[in-house]
Amino acid sequence: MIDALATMPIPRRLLIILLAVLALMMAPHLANLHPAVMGLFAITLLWRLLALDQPNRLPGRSVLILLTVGAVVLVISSTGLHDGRLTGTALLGSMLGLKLLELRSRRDVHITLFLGFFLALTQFLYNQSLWLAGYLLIGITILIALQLGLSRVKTDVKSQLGAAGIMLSAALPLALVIFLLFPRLHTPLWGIDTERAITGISGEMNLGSIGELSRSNAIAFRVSFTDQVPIPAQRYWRGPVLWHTDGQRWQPGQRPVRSSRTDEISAAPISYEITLEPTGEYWLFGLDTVTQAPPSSHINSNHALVGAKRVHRRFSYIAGSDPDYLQLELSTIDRQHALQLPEQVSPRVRALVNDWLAETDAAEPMQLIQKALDYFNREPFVYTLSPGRLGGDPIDTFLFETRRGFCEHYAGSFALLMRLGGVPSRVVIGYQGGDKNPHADHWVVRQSDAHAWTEVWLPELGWWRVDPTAAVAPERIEQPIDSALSQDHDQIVFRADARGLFGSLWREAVWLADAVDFGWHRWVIGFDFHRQRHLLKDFGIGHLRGTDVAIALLVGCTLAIALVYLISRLPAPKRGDPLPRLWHKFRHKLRRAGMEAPAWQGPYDLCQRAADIFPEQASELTAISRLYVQLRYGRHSDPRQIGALRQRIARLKLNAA
Amino acid sequence: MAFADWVRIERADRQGRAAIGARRIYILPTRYGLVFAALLFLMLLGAVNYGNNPAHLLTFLLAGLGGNTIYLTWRNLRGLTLRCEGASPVFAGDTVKFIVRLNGEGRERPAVQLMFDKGEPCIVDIPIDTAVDMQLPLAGLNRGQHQPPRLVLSTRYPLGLFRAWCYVICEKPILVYPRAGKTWTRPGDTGEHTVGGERGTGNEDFAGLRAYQPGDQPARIDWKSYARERDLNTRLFSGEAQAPLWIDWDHAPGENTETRLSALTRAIVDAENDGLIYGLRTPTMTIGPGSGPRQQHQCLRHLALYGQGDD
Repeated sequence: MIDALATMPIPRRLLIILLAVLALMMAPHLANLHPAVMGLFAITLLWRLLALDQPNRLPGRSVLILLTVGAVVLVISSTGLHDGRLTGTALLGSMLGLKLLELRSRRDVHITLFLGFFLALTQFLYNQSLWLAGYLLIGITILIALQLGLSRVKTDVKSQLGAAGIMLSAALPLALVIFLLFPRLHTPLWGIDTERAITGISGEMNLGSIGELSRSNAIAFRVSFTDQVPIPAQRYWRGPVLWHTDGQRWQPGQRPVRSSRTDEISAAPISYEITLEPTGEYWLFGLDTVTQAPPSSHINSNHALVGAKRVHRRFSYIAGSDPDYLQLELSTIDRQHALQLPEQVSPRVRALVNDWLAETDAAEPMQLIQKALDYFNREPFVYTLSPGRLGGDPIDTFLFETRRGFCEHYAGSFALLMRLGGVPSRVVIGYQGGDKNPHADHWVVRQSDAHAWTEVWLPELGWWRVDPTAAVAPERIEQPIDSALSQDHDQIVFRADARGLFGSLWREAVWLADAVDFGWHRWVIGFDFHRQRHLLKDFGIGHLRGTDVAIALLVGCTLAIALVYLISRLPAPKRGDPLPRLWHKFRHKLRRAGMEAPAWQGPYDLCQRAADIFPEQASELTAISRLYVQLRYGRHSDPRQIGALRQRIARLKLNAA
Repeated sequence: MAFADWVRIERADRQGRAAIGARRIYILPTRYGLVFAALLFLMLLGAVNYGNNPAHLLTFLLAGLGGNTIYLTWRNLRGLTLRCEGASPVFAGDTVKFIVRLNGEGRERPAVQLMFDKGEPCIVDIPIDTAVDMQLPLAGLNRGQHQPPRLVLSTRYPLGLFRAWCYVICEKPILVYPRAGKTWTRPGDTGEHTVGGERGTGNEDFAGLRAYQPGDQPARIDWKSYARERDLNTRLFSGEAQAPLWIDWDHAPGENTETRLSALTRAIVDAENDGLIYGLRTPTMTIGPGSGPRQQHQCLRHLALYGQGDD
């Protein structure tokens, strides 16, 4: 059992590469671990580097034990024990660092390598992005190449990189099969909570808050429609509903009473799957109006979708919506809430509404709505991300002086105008629109699609959506905003307006990246209990028990071993002489060009015949036959010439005269 | 070792050649392989606990990698051929260098380790199409003819997670001459005829030169004159024509057989070094006078096998 390699020293170059790779694989933890832990790792790494040529600089056994105890104390004091994940990662990082100080002979590399693999796994506990996965995969490939190099007598990493890549790709099929079959626990969709500042819609609306959000191009969520795609004017993604205003801010206010009425639900709702980016909030977004809630969430009395826990991780859910659904309930107390007014409303605003009331029929709230929309449309209102300062009475200033605003200005003031006119109204915030990814089958809704609109109560129709922004800038409903360009312009720039070759190339690349990222999420990160069952059902496996999986794996492994055994019985392929293969390729080329090229014909004869058929390539054909004959039968054939022959054959283009 | 008695063994043919058959290879995880399995289990626990799919995927990828290593390790030995070249005879107490030629047969085979059972390991990377000679040391053999111990051919390539090995038995006998004792003087001599003095201390008179004939010992060629671009000549000594040196069992000092054999061995080596013509007389055999490596080998071989009933 003696291993002659184990006690050999680690070549200097390999050691340097090992240290560099481990440092790079540790680096993403800068965002997660306590600086003291990262510092400890950096110090041990540098220590090992300094001792590269003088192994006596490495600490002895007693010092190492002291360092280990010190590292444990450091981890506990800096990270604490409340988060097992953080403590575990910090301990792993420190132990890996200390192990580097023990790195003397080749056998020590095994353990370092294993710790490196585990380090990669801990990275996924904090970030599951495809880019990180790719980054770590490169690191793992290099680690394996290092191990391959160290498992040989003559070490060389560079030539082992390819071998490591092949080994990993060979492992992939088995890994994927296990990945698909390995039973997933039916645990809650949310894991361990991690708090992070996240951009996104907050639970209330300040004038300017959504405009601020619109400057972000970040993705809010992605949608895949099962079959039916709603038209752009229906793409309102409902979020929190706001009832209470103080003239500046809109807040949820009191939750309305849930009606006892059982709503009729349309037979064929629009079914879709949303993959929501972390929001840190409870609510989920759904197409207006959600009628089918995903598991572990519910539709509240505002017809908004609310999850059971805060969304701290990207997560997917399937919901169904009916755009024609009528929300027909409004209790007396809710009617009061929907008519609530801020303490101060300027006389100018009241006068405006009173003028409209005088001109319209009180029984026809639609006329009042039209008046208000006409007002926005007729007067010189500007749809802009930079509304300017609005002062102490923002609604008054906005309606009569600046007349510059973003959707929340229009929605907020419109709702107020309706309330003044006696029409119950409320503000809904969420997103509007979405772009189809041209390279994939999903739609992307960005923070720049954040939107606010209003709902007014009409006696026959119930809560009725009115989007005053559409009166000012109808194109907003059809096209997304170009957030980058709109910042520099006075007027909003819509995405379709932004042109230019580089612009479109860049956009194309961004879409591609989005498609890849979404695929990664859909098939790797989001592959949970439900999706696994769904997929297996497609293969005709209804219910998967542990024993079934075990049997399947056993059968699979047996088959794989049998296959390997059969392959091993086959005679090993003779690499041998590349010349016959080249000649075969050449004849194949001739045949493809429509000429007979029998195997028995000698090279000179064959090329002579070929030159008759393809006179333009005559000289090239002669050169090939000469080179081949010289290599094949010549006394002093230079093996380097084989490359030249290969090139000539590859470049040969046969055009019949 | 009872286990060793019924293991599958590859036997080399008469020329000492053996090809490692697929079914002769054993494979078991190494200590690091077991640690790796434990690590995978821990990783899986972490992945399941946090419901983390990329972590699942990473774990399964490494598991697949580890699984494939079984095949790759096994393949590193399968089909390899070896040829035992045997060892040149040595004197007891010296280390035998047993030469084995390994051939990858069209496949690169890194880190192939070869050793005698419980012996010193030698490790080598076998290139694709070049055979590699390995010298296996074997120390502590007594005089006589020995069968080499079982060879263990093993590898842990590529990742050290598994060790594949197979046993090869090769019947290329190793001959060990008796240990050469101290130089001794024959009691009957007046001190003029030493048996086994240092090279060139013999006092035969230089008798002249004659033209070189094939078969003359290199030690007696007059290299100096040859270097002066004269013909190749052989030096003649006056003493040798008269009487060959008889190395006689009865004259050899020593209380027991082994010390006598050592003394005789020394005498033969010295005689050969001095370029004498010598013969050997033992109770069981007489080897006529002669000189040269062949004569020396014949005599030493006789001494090596003396009393072992094998001669």
